[in-house]
Amino acid sequence: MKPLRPSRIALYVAVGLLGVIILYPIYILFLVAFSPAHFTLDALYPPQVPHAFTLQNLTLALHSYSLIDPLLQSLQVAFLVAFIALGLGIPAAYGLSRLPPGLAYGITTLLFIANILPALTIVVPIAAEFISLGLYDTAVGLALLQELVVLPLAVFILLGAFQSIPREIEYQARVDGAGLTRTLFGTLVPLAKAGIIAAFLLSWMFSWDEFTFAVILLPIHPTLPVVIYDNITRGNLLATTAFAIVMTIPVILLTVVLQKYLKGEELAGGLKG
Amino acid sequence: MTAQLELRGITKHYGKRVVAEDVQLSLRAGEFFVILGPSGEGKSTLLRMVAGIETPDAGSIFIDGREVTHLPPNKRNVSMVFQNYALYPNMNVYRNIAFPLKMQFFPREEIDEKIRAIAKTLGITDILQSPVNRISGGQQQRVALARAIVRSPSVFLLDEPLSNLDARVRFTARAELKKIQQELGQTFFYVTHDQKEAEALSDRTGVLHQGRLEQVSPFEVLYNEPETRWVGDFVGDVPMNYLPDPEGGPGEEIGFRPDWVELDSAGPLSASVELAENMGEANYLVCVTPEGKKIILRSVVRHGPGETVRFRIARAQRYGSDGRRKPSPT
Amino acid sequence: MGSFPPAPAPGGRSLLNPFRRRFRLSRETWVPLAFILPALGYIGYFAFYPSVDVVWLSFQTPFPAAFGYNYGSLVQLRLWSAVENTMVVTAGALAIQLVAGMAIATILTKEFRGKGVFSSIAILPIGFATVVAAFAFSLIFPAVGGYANSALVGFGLPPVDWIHPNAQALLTIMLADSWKNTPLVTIILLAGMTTIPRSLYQAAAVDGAGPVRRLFYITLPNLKRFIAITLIIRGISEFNIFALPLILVGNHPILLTVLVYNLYSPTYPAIYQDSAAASVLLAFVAVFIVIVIAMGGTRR
Repeated sequence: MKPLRPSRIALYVAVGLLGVIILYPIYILFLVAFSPAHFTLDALYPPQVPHAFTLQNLTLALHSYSLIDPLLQSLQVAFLVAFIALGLGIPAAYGLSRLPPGLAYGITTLLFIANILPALTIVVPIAAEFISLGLYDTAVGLALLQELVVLPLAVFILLGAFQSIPREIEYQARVDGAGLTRTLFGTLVPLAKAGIIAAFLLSWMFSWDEFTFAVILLPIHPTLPVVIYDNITRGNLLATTAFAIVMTIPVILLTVVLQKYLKGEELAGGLKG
Repeated sequence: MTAQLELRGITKHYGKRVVAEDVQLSLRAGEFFVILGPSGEGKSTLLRMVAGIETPDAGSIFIDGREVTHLPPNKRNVSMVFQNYALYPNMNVYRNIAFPLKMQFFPREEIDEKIRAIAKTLGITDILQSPVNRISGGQQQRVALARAIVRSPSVFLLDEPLSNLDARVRFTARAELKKIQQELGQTFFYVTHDQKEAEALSDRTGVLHQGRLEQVSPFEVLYNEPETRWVGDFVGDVPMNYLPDPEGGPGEEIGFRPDWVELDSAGPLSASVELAENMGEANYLVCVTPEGKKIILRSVVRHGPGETVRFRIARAQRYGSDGRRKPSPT
Repeated sequence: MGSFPPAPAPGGRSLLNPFRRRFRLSRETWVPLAFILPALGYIGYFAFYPSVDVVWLSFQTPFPAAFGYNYGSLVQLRLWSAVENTMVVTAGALAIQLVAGMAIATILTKEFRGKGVFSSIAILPIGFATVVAAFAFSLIFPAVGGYANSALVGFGLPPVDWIHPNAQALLTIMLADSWKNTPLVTIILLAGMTTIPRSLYQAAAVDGAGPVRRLFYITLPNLKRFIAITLIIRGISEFNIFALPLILVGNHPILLTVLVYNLYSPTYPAIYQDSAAASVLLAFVAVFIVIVIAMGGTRR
């Protein structure tokens, strides 16, 4: 074998070190989840390597704590957020792609500002408003707030997708006799499919993770992240590991799916040739 | 004959840029009308205003005697072929051609019948089930044409439909297009920057320059009697030549094309050759007159730089100081 | 050119025409605008209205009191310490994420065996919820014992309280936050690096520039725009960092967001100290944006 150059050795050392640092917290999470507690949480200085394997932590947690309600709540909110993102985002992105550049730039800036407003700044006055509107502690109320962060993001992704469709396709559909809505949903939306899927998945994933709005707005029927927080503060650490793993699996799966749709060429061109 | 398409005082500005200025135009039924002009001077915009994709700032558009100025495209009964063909990439050839018929709620059997017929005419039967990104440029152009023809609208709008084809295919496609138009007997409104296309296809041609129609007439008239000096320069292989009009006032000139000149050793005028360029059957001579004016002459005989040629102007048009043609030809 | 008659009067028939002409809106403009309106209305009601409302509320008190009473009372409630801690966390986390993101992105521009696996690992933390990341780090960095201390003790070093002393607590927050968010920085910087032409590096190498000088004279200047975007996106999130400190260290050392949360009470909305604290947070984000834009001079 050829001896490695010093720069290659440094590269592999860096790769190894960074890899270990990134994987370590994940490893600890799984170690605690699948080891008997006396090797992990109950030990003052727990060993770094697994000593025994058990599924008891998970089964116990799933039996003694209600997982179903927060899971359903989380799913409900996430799907609501993702669908609202498309419902408002698709027309908005289409409209933006058809506006004169100056006006479009101004509106995009507004969306961006809305995106960066602190969640706590918004939720404090809105929570009071929601109590009077009957939206407090409801999935719809939370979805409407999470949408704030998601919608600008979704619009940016969808805008890219619509901009990559030649204007002539739209004109052609209009001349061929399609009305405005028919043109948008029958012709342009199918062509922007990759961007729409990406926007949907990102919106879904954001809502699934979201904590700040959820903890203030849904105290009685919480979503999964808030349940995890509650269990940590109450010291139910084993239950927390179970919830954490339940929460993580769908996101990891979706990330894999999303990667396919977030490739530049997919977003940039529903059109080839 | 009735006017199939009529434009009255169409004006359109993009900010300070004028793309149409008081355009008046009337197309007869069955006419092949070509709008000719340089790129980016409003040809496509004019077409798009007829299609309803853009709205004029002022003026009105009539199709079949009905005002359509503010109607959306789907209510105008026009069809259009774009330069890039704008085939729906998510549909195959068959579904592309079927789309405008579906929008008009034709029954499925009738759609199928019409598509088979048009596919046969255009020779695209074999590719009906192909995805549109798997067929050649020439085939794409035919599909776009088929989609436009299949529903027999009042007016066909064609925006440089041949310019994305390579040179050899373009030649046959051009001939085919003319044949189809004659068979259909339909009104074609066609935009191009290529005067060869205007010459080969059009019944009448309108020359558009900076949003204004400079001249509307059969192509031969554009060549022989350019209404403005600008048209004289734009139409033809080389710009028109101008010399001071011996009978006119100050600023008035006569304009003549190289092939309106006879080279003759006894001719009344002379010029010295600066450059000679062989163009197949003839040579173009870039010459300078004794007054220092640059003109281009045409000769079957070779002449070298530095030689002096004598010539006579057999035919010319007279232009006033405003650049417009004066009625009486000399 | 000959003279042409002036443009004739507009021949529009639509009822909307006078309105459109007054606002200079053509059909090409107002149709797309109509599509955007629902989204804009939504953003206006749920983002801009509350932001104005919160500032307005921050000056309201249930009893006659001096102007700005809520803000005055915040000072007693550790406002300055919250501001200081928030700024330390923001600066520290940004520094860690930029350096780490830069390193990982640089590695990913090179070819080596196992690159595919490494790039998957590098973006893996994106798939973990913030609360899950916070939980994992709370297992590693607790006050007593835990996995970090078990490693320290294993090497014969004294254990550390990761939660109670200010410095350690802030460091724990920064580390956990950087673990979760460096992948995003990596993705942005990597996208930026792929826009730099290879030939620039080759030219610099021929001119005798080593790796360090190539970094400072080619990579960083060409990445300026991408670094500015990173700073804006991540910087704003750092000001708003909430779940991580809440779960990892609780109320001490306190951050601005946690202060807002502590003051917030749905059952007793008549005291608006929470609004005042939220307004301070809002002001910080606004100032930060202005600073980054002024420094970077970049338009998005």
